[in-house]
Amino acid sequence: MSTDRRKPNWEPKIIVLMCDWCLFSELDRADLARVQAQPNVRIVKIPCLGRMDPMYVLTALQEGIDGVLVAGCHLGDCHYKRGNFMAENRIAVLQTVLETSSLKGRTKFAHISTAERGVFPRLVEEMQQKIGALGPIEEELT
Amino acid sequence: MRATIPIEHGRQRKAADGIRRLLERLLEAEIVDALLVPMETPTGAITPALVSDPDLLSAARPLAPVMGLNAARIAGKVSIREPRGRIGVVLRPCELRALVELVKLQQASPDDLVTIGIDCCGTYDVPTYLAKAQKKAPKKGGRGAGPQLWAQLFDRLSDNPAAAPPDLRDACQMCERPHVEQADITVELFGADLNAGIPVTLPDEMGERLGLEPTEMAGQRDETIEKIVAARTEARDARFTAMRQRLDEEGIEQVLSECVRCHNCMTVCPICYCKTCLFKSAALDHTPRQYADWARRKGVYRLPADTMLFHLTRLNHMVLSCVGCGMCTDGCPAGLPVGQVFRTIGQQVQAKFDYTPGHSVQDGLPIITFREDEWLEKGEE
Repeated sequence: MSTDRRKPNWEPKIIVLMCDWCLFSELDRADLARVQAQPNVRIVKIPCLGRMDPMYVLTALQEGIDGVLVAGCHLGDCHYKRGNFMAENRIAVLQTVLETSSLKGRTKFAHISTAERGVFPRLVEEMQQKIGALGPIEEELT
Repeated sequence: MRATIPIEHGRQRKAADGIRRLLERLLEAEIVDALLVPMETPTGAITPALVSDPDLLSAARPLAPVMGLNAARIAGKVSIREPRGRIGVVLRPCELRALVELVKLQQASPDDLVTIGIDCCGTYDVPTYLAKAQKKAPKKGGRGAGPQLWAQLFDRLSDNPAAAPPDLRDACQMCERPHVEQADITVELFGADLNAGIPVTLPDEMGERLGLEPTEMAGQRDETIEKIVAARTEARDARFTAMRQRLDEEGIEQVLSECVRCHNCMTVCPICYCKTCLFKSAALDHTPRQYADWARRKGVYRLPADTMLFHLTRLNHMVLSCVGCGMCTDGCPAGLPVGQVFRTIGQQVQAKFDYTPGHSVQDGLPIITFREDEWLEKGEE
């Protein structure tokens, strides 16, 4: 398998932007290891989803990352009380804007709880399948 | 209080003089220290200026149908912090809406501002206006033609509210909010019989200080606005449909493909206020090595870099507050329909948040507004 888009056995590169508090620190270690072990998935920890600047998503896609998964806690569970409400608003704008571009369908926003065993690896897997179907991100002149 | 400003000899074409008289009185009665109003320069250009001497208001052109910039930004500059003067600002409806958004973004303060809103019959871009003025008053180099050009537009609108002249700015042709929604002093031109004077609505106390008598007004403002709004909404929706189809089929990359990244759209946008704009900062000063790396890795790399990043980021930052003044389209050297793109996407985003930009300073900016009950609703799901 290769992440080189020109190769026939291409596999998507995925970045996960993830809240440090409720997910990364306490997520089931086995779940986390299953994702971290994959060479084409990178987890980027953010202190809180409230710190998630849409620019992170845009620059990742511009740099040739095929898909971005943004994962944070359920609404009401935020350590800082309203960080994920902020993220929710921003993502709503970002996704509507991205709908109009060729980056359509390459982002996903998910709520995960530490109590939900197995959900995180499954989300990443779904994302890989979806992006795999979309094909490598276009990097030609636009 | 609703009152009538008399017009000299009851002539509709003298409407600009009537408004000028109202402005003079605002200065004379010391309700404001100065007025921000479009003025005509000796060369015939129309530009906003701050006027404190009522005698100099003879060059004021509050009705001249030209829009070279959105004056809301200037209204922000003259009001943003104390100490400041009491300033009266004469603004078009789209400028008033932008001012509301700037107040919410803490880039303007309504405290010592007196807003004077005038119903807008539409505007030309600067070159079109200058050409038309030159044609109207060739001997005077186009000076003083503003009121006549306005009167033409007003007559046309009175005869048939549905028809917008095709040489108006595109943003004006699709403007479904050309009437003043909220201002301290509203100059109600739509549906007014100007031969009987200009109807204005203003606070009682201010009216008394100006020596105005409350008058009963017949007029057909609401009906006229309804007709104009219906026609413009139709024109707007036709553009939205066409643009949405283009965005679906081609994507924003293709629609804005000719962008030369001059940043004019950002510079003229009344909402884009950030002093430390990412695109003016060193954050995107890539190193030569980075460019070489891109070329190697991607095979081909478009320069200047970050064109789509620029538009997508700008959309993210201001599309919720886009008031549709269309300055971005006028400013684009490549002639791209920037305003149409922003309004089309803006409508979708604004609908998601059930938000109307420029409606009222009481509506919080949705991106930073959280209601107590929002927590419960979503948390209990």
